[in-house]
Amino acid sequence: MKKTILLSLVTLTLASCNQYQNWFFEKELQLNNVHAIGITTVNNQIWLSDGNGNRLVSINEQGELINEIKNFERPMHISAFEGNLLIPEYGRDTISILKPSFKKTSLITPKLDAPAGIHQWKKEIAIADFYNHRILYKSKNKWIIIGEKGSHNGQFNYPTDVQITENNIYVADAYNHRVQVFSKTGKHLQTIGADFNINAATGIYVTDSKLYITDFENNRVIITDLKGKKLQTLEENIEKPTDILVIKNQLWILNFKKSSISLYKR
Amino acid sequence: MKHLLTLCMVVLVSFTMLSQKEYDHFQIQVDGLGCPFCAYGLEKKFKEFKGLKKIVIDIESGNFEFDYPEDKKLTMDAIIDQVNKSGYTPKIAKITRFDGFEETFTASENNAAISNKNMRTIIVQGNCEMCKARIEKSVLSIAGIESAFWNKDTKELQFTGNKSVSQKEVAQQIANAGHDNELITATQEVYDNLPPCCLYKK
Repeated sequence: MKKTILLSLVTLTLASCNQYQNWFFEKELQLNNVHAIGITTVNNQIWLSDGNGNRLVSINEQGELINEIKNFERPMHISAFEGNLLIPEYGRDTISILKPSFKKTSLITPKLDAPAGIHQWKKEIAIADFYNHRILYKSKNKWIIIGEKGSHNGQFNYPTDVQITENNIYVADAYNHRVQVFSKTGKHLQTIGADFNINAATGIYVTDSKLYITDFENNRVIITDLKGKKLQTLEENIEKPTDILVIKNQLWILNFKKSSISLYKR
Repeated sequence: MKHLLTLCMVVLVSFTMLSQKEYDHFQIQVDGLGCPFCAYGLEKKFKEFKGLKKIVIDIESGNFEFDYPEDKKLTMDAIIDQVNKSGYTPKIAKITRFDGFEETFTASENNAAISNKNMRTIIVQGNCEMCKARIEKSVLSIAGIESAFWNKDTKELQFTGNKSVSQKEVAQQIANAGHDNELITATQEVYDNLPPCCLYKK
């Protein structure tokens, strides 16, 4: 009897550990005319790409502007690696690298047409090449091309964001209204969200166990597990979201149109 | 020596005057512009006109402004054509030439109120405010149509006008603009030319 109770308790504890904890709206940070498209952190500083303002800005946890760097052309989904900021310049067809010293250099890439997202993981880099409907992925100094224009699995309709994880590459296949997952050899593995009625999957954020998707036209953020099972849909105080990030147990959601950030907590 | 100096001055002034370009100012209001990817895409399309300067896009209002060298003689027709060709719907356009001369363009107005009398409906596929602008404009371009309103959520297009305009004629016009409807499917080529955010699920 004792053993049964103990076993039940252990099972219950394990089950509760695996249980998904919902996010709840906490507050909205108003930005001063920053229409942010991408968010990342470098050395505990939060950076946003302001597409309309052709600049990058860093803000504090109250949303106040700390620093700004100008002269980018339509910076989109930015990323950070080893203190550097990686900036896809949609209007200039280039990837800029901003060093901690604020010195700007360029990444050498195959010819791009409106890069909309970039991500670096260790020595691997992936770029969402918007008007070419493809992902460029670099590993061991060699670029490979993933995808082509189309709506079948493995094809893209204007990809806008990308993230590399230890084993896979996740792509926001924006105007096929879904997320696709690829192996690092470019093999299509999985399609997520095709049945969620998404209208423009513009931004993604992937953790060890969750996938966060911004549903731009429907003013929502959808959270799934990595198998694509929907866990939660966030709708409160979200308007035209473009990117999301978890920072210190808070979910930061960029509201492009409202020039604000919605913070959710658990 | 004096002559030489004067000559140098004259050459310098002439060179400066020659190198100072005059610019025409262009203002275009695009209907339904709402997503940054499409707005910046429109800007990219216009960069095909080499020499574009002082580009400003306001996504909220759909206003798009830029300067362009006057000696290239960019016409209103070329501007409207470029906007249409890129899949966007021009609402108002104004060119202020370098000498102050103004040219304007205004798209045909949609009647403010739609009456139930003689109202007909058709289901039309589309996603966003840009789709709305394009669908309504395509219907309004048919002679005899008085008003056209498309609802983004229900996908229902309501229109009024002369009964001699058939439902099929309206459906064909909408399909020509890139939007599948309950009667006619748009060709793949026209569909592919729609701006990214207008790519409804086929």
